[in-house]
Amino acid sequence: MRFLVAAAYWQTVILLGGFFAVVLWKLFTGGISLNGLLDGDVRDPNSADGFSSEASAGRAQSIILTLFVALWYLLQVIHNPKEFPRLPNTMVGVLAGSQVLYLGGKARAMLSGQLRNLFK
Amino acid sequence: MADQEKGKGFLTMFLVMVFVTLAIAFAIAVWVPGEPTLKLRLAITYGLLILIFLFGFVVLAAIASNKIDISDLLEEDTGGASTSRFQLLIFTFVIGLSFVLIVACNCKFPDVPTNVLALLGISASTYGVSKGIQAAAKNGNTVQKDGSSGTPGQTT
Repeated sequence: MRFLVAAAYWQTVILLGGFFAVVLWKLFTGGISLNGLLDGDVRDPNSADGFSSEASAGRAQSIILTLFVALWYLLQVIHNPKEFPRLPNTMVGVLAGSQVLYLGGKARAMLSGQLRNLFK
Repeated sequence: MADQEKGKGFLTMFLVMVFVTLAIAFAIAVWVPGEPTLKLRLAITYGLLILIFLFGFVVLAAIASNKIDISDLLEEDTGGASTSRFQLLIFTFVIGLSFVLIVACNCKFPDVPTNVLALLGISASTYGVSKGIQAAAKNGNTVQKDGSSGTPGQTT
């Protein structure tokens, strides 16, 4: 029975680690493109599809905060792998605020022209 | 034609995996000493374990060799990588890895605190809402093709 548990453990480690490694490898080698990760769409009447791209502060802050929370969480788990670490409510609140800011900015940039036309 | 050959290849692989699983389960059931019920339980458990591993490994190998294309994993409809997809990917991996580590250390299913669920909820909702905004904007753009709706200087 002990061998069965060890086999299940190594199977999970190999498969999950493998998926993680493949995705990470493709991210670093350009197999999965990160081009335009910090560029947001903005309505542009002169563009063929109606949108063009510009650097976005909303995206930048969202990515920075996401990476910070993810790293903090991973470090907590590595430090004490007995249970899921408790996230401070402030951190969850800040993350939620950051995502709302990003989504609000996106909605404003992509929909505000449309709404304005609705009231014309 | 190529699709048919691909389909045949996958079917052959599937049959080989099932055959290997059954062979190992049979070997355990026949040659491992012990009570018949224990032997049956071991045969089924090892069989399922090997089958799941082989399925996972085939998918992993197909992704690594580009037979399954994941190059558009983070791509938006309008082109360029998507922030909402990126953060969902990061949090999924972090929580997934944490889960494996915790289960490996405790050998039992862990309690998941509500704020971890909140974290995943925020992440997934952001992705969902982002898709909704994109769909609404795209829809509006096809209706208002006169192009008078631009708001320069505001980025997402």
